[in-house]
Amino acid sequence: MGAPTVNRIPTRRRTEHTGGERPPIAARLLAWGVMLLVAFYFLVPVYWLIVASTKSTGDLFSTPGFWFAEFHLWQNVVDLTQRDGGIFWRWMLNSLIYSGLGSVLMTFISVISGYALAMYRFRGRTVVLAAVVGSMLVPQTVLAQPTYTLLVNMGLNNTMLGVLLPSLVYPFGVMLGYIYAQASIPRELLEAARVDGASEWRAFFSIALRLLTPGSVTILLFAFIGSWNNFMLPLLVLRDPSLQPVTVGLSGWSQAAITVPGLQTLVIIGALISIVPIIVVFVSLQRYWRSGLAAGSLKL
Amino acid sequence: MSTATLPSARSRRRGIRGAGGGWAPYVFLTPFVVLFLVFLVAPIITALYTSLFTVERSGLGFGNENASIFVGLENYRRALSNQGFVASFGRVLLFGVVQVPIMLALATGLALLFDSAVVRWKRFFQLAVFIPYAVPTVVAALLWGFLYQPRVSPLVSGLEAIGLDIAFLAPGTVLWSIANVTTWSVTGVNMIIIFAALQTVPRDIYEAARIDGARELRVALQIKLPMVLPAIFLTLLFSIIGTLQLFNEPMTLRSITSNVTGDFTPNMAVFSTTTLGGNLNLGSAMAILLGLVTFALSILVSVLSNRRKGGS
Amino acid sequence: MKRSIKNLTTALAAGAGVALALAACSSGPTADDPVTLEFWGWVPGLEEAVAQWNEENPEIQVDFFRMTGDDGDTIPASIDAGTAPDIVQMSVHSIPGHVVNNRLIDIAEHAEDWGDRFTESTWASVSFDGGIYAIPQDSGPSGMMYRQDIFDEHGIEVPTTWEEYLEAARTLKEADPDLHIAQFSPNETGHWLQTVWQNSGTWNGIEDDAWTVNVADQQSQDVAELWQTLLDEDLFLTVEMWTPEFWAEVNDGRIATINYAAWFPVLLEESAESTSGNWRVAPTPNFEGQDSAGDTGGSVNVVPTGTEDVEHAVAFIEWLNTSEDGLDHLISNGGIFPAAVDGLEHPALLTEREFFGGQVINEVFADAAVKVPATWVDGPTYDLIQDRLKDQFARVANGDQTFSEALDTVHDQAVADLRDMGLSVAE
Repeated sequence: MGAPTVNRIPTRRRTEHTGGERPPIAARLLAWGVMLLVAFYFLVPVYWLIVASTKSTGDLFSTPGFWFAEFHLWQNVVDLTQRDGGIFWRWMLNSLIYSGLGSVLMTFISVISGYALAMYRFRGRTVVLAAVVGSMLVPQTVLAQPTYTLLVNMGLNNTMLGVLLPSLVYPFGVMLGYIYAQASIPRELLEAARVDGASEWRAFFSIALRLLTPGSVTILLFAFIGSWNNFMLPLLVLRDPSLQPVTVGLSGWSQAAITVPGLQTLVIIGALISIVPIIVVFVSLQRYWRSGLAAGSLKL
Repeated sequence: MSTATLPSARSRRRGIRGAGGGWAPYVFLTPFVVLFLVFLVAPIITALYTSLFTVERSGLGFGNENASIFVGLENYRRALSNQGFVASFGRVLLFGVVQVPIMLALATGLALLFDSAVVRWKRFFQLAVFIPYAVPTVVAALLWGFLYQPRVSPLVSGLEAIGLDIAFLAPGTVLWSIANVTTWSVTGVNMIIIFAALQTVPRDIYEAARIDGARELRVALQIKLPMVLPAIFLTLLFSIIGTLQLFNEPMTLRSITSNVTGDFTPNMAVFSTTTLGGNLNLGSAMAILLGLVTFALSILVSVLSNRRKGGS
Repeated sequence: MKRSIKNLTTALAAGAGVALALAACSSGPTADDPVTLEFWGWVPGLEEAVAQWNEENPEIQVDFFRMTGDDGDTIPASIDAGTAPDIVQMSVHSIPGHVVNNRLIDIAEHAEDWGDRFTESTWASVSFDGGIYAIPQDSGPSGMMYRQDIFDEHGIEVPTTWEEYLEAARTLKEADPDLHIAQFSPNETGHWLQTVWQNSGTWNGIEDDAWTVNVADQQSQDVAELWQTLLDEDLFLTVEMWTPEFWAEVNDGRIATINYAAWFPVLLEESAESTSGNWRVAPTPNFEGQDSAGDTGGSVNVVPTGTEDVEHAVAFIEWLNTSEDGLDHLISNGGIFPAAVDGLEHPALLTEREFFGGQVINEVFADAAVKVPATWVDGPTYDLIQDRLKDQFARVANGDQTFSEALDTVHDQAVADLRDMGLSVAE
């Protein structure tokens, strides 16, 4: 049983907590009970999604929702792949491009902005900070229509760039970047670098960026999920289905499923497949982001 | 978070760099500021401008020029006299007063459990709690929509078997069914923010407490909890913003129950006015009012929480 | 002053446009210098239709984009921004809403004589105030899908009037309290709309230079009375249509009839596989002394504002929706129920359906198509009226008010909505 797993995460601020007596058996049993209830609550709808994705349309409505009927999963995947010339996989690819490329750029912009805000005192700094905070309060519904008109005027409607560029404005990321920079970059280190004659540019890229890596991973995770679920803007901007991300494509199918036969099961299997990349990203970033977020939260 | 994070005393303590850096901060900030001005400030100004006009029509409205005329704050007056729109604020506030504390209590409780030694299989259970956040809200609402429907839902029949007859989609309960979808979706991410904050609490503080014989629970409530209050405050603020802008969940559930009206939440009222009613001018005014209310409430919560912090 | 300058520029621009159009006409597009038109639609198989057109008309090339369905958000946004395609498929009900926002081109000069190519009701619903703003593509005439096995078991004759329908409902209810003649779905206004339409009603109308609101007229009150009886006597099963719950009820055989549009059977076949062979289709029951059918409205092809080559856009629409080849694509591959009269006799339409015990069900729908009264007029606030009816019908289902009271509320709201848009309303 050894040490609790949390201790595997290295943080600068924590002393390793080894040994320690095991909690009483009653407490552990209670904890197991609570955890099982919790897992049940959070996983049941996902379980339904998995079961439903193995059914044909007929069985979907005529067999019990929590148990498997005739196994139709493979056929559903084949149908999904064949529908409209395999457009679903194109959507998945688009989403990976928007979210992958988008979140990396978004993270870089957030980190460098947060760094500038945290490390320098300059004219206009308070204005930028206030704007960052204030803009998180703006409802998406205010922005959708004017942003679209703007993109049309810039000639960016129905292009990948038209979806990518606006999504790079991510005030929450800038705020996190600001918090992380404050928390994890000792000013003395930068002063020392400067004394050694390093340029501001070099100081950021060779010293700060490395220290900010754990925090960046957290921003990356949020940015990736945020842009994977981005919906309103791509819906307006992209008329060409082969450019759409998977959320928009599936939602279109889901609406059309009412009157177009054969779409219902595709929406379900598509939804299941569409959450896989996020889970992969989460699991693979799990060990990094904890420490990153941790460093920041203390400073909030 | 404005007051919580804006550097005031903290920056002074850390020493002011003064003019150091010169051009550097401006260069570093350029990409963000440019994008911010183009894709956030400009659309807001456009929306503000739009909200001050109305389209002039007459007769059938066919073949007119549809000139825009300036009407000042008339659209705001009309928005505020729209009973459905005003009532929708009351509805989301009621929603928030109930859902946000429950969700945050759940998230905090889970974070404390994951931080304690009593839970095993932490990675698995954390993933379980987080997965719903990865499910797009539209899909989440579809899933729960299925589980809310009598006749097909194993959940409903299960509850019936133990004597609980719950109509999840009835007029009086549907708001709380939506609250459940929201709680299911966002508890994980809030839990993670709070959990991460817990990780930074120096262990020695409560190592000492444990040696004193203090029980796990008391350590959690008396030592850990106060230390992560700032993180909880951050999640509180995000939850309030999210509640006021509630849209996807009720909109999706509307397709399975008409007890979710077309103007159930402020954002739905905006959508109905803009998309169904084709009135972009009035819709812009409504959306701006929603933004203002969100802003005011965030400030209020910040001030209240700051006062508490100052007091303790 | 400013306005007159603007008018002048508009006039100049229009003049230039005419000149350009004339220039274009005199020389005309050629195979070497083709016109390219963009077309958005969602009917399956349109790709093949467009490919055939492009091959036969090298001088007028069509670029096709597939929409996943009727898209309420993107089309208006793109027309307003001037990036719309030249031809769009959309729901017939959204026409006037777009016309008052100057989003559609009146194509009367090209198409005013085409009335006899389409069923009377579909043609009526694209014509407004002397203008023609769309060409009908498909339609949704109503029929009654019913469970023959259930009717047989309880000795019920197929009802031909709503009076007989009520009797049948009561018999079923008595025999088995779980058995309902039909479902009532507050969220799905299609059933309501088609029955009002069958009764020669409408939600809106045009009187001189003003809109009328007819939501609570006698034609609707008749339907309200019928539905109130069904609801009060517990003959309706209240369940939202399209939900898993609804399909479960259908599969379990607790709903004996579904009165709905010609495009519904294919969805029934797919989602109620387990009941295959038990269904038949008969004409929708009628109000006393009438012989008509309802319709839910279908989709149309429009030419959005901003389209330069209206003439050729209309030519393509004409080919797609009225020529033998075009209809063949739409019916055989697209599976639509055509609005064109010629299409009603298409062999691909009149096939035996195993799910319906080998019945040629579209004979019933084709008969219905020509019996739909030409009374329906969509108004600019159609979507809002529909949404408001849903909200009020929910309160009816909860027992808070009657259908008749719901209609009165929606009537007042609809009048206010039109006035809010600055339009005239005649009362």
